Amino acid sequence: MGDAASTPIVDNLFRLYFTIGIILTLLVFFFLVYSAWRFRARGQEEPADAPRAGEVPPNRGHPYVVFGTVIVVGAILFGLSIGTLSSHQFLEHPPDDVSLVIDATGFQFGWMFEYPQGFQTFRELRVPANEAILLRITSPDVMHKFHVADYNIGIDAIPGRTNHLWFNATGPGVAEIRCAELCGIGHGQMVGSIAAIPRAEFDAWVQEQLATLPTPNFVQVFDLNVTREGPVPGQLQAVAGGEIHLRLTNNASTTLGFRLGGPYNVSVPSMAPNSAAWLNFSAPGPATATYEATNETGSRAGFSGTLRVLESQRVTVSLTEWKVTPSAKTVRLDQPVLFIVTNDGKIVHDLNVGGHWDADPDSRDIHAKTPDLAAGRGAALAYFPRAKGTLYLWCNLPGHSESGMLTTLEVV
Amino acid sequence: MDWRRWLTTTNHKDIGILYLVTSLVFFVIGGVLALIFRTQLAQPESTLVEPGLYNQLVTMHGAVMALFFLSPIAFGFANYLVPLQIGASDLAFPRINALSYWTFVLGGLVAASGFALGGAADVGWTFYSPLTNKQYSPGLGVDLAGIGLVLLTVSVVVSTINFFATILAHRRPGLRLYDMPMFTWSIVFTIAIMLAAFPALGGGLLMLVADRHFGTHFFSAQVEGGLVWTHIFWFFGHPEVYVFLHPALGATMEIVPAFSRRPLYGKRYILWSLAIATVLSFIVWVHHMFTTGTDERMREFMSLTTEAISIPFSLIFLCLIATLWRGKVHFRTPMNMALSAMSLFLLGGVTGVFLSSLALDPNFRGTYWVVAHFHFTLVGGTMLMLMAGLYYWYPKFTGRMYNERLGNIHVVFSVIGFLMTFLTMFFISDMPRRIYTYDAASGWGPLNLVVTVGAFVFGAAQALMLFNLLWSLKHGAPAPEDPWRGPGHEWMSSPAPTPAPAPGPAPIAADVAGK
Repeated sequence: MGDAASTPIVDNLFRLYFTIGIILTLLVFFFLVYSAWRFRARGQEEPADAPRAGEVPPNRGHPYVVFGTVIVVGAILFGLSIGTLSSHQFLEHPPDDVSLVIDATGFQFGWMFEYPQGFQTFRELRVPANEAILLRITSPDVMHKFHVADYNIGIDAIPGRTNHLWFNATGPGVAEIRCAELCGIGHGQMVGSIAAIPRAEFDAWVQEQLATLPTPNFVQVFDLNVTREGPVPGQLQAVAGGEIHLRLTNNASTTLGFRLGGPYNVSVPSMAPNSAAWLNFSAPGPATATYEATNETGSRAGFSGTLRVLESQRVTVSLTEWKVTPSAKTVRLDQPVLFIVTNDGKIVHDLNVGGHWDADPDSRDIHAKTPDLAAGRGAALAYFPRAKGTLYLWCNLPGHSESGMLTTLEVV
Repeated sequence: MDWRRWLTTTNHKDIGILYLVTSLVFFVIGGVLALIFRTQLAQPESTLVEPGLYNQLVTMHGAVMALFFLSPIAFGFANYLVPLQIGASDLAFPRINALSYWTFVLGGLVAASGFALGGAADVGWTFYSPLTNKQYSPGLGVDLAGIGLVLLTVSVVVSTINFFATILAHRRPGLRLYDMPMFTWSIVFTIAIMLAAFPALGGGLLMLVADRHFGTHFFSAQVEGGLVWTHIFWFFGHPEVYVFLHPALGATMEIVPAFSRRPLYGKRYILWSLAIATVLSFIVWVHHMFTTGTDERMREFMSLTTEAISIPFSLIFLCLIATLWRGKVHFRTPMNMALSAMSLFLLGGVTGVFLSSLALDPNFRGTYWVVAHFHFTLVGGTMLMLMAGLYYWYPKFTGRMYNERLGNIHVVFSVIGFLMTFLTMFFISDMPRRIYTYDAASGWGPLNLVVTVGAFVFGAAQALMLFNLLWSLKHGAPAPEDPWRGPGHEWMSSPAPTPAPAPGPAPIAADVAGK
């Protein structure tokens, strides 16, 4: 449960309406019951003006009933309106000290939040507590309603329009986000959360997010423990078509160097004992290279091995609403496939590679998948075909493959 | 009785009965749809109904109940009673009346046929765009519902003109407009709203179908196309609730004087109140759009007009209660039902004031709070008032008395079932509408079970009413001609039950009321 500055304001207004409403309801209800019961038929005379067939009933009524009703009900409504309009001013107009403006998108079916620092989150919104946050809310597809019951606030996400909603979460806590406008088959699953956390924690989390942005660059990372003497030559295997990052750790008690031979010819001249170093280089094509540890003089130390870079088949895949478009229709069985996936659509997608697609999401056979990719983002995926036959590519977000984001490749 | 009579009739009483029976059939259909999705919601994480089917169920429940039950059943009463109350021999255009009825039936069948043709509309009965665009709803259901509602619009517009002509030109000589019985007066305000509001729906739906099939961009425009639809829809949709309510109030204003043996209190004020509410009903529609972020001055204005509309209804309510004073109140089924419905409507009206608040509505919009509110007004209030009318005029329609004991059991269990269902919903106001299931962790499970049990109690009570009405057709005691000594002229204008119509075209403007 979380609270925001808006929570008590709307709660208090509700209490005002509730108190007046319940008093009026009970008064009128008892007036009705009392009137009916007091004048119940128990042998009294039929009233003189009782309705009679064929006669126009005589007029009854005093104007004071009209004046009384208009004045009393009008006064109550006037009082309630003042409460409403002052609370409305608070909810509608953000304060001047908004510390964070986040672009929120409701889509079929989920929520995306784009931070000013350039990264996105899905379903989970994290904000610093006790600060005014402004959301600019829109939708790329159909209407949704961004509703946070704990904060007593909500506003529609409408295609082609940006609505503003602000809140100030008072103290750490988690509040649930729901969609409250029927938006299709996944309406009930459009659940998200707002986590309000202390400012320092928030800043650290932002740095973490910036470090893990997915890119379509294909990077393979290997950890290598370098020693003075290697008992047997080591063997590393990588896929061509991207970058290779070697994370070297010197496990020996003396300073060592590291050298990777042709065609790469890169080296780290010296690493202190128990220190680490990165060796990054690109590997566009197939190759076999040897590596070895070196002494301070540059001579061989004894530790050695081979890096084999396998030839790959590069297939670019474009994700849009509502299509998965690969650059090839067939791949060969004998080589790894390097999928370079970009989300060219307007909303979040992912790419799943598998042997079987089924209407039932639980029965789909997924071999490899990318993380959720925001619009404009991309990822690389190396995949080793297992057998000849049909390979399915689809977006696994609810409803997306059903809407057309499903295609096949033939493994030959 | 020759069944072909019912296919070819142009007699207003026959068509009235056809409207009543047909709308009750739609009531049963809409009710069964509701019980199916209430069963799904009784337990968390239930898998009885899939989300796609669930959306069809809630959409068709709303569309069928609102447009093919509540609205036409009032026209069943109106067809039968308005000519009798004003002393006309029939409606001004009897064949057009038959056309209205059959267009309405066709519209209902087309709208509901989606269930048999691969999926009914699943976009909510409000047909919000862009969800209704071809891209997001490729199925046939939206087209069928759209065409069904366009047919309904045709039926309604033709019918309103027919009623206006009848009421203005075919009154018995000497009957002043002011002296017309209250039910007929309520129909005057109803058709005034219908004539102004329904064309917006019909036009909107034609534009929607054009968007889907002919490449136009009324509502599929990239920028705010959906917002245009909400304005057009609610310009129809809000006045439409008074189309439901006015005839129900009209029936109540016949029943309360009849059973309290006193003339209606403040008829003049009630008529002015109805007139003011009718006008105001056209300038409140943005209260359905408080969260769309539409112009702030417009929202503030419509928030105030929405509050203001509670003043005329407060006055009507007080006048109805004042009618009881110094009367002789007989607690028969129609009266008990009418008083119960008034009590339930009271809470619907009060909760409506909550929703008129610009600051409270954003938290309620799209949640079960709204569902509870409008069922209090439309079901607890409007529908039960019309059921009271069914009992009240049953002797007139059939020449038989309904069973009083079963009728009162119906009243009691309707109220119990209703409160279990809809009062409970106010307590799960953080649950969004139209979600097909929910997590156990949400804590909504126990109250949803109460709601579902209440829905079945309510449904069983309505089944009991239908049984009562059918059983009494054969076994009810023969009814006297004027069992209630009611204030309306229908009781003395012709004998009950309906005599078979004379062959040939209906006579025009014959004076049948001069007894």
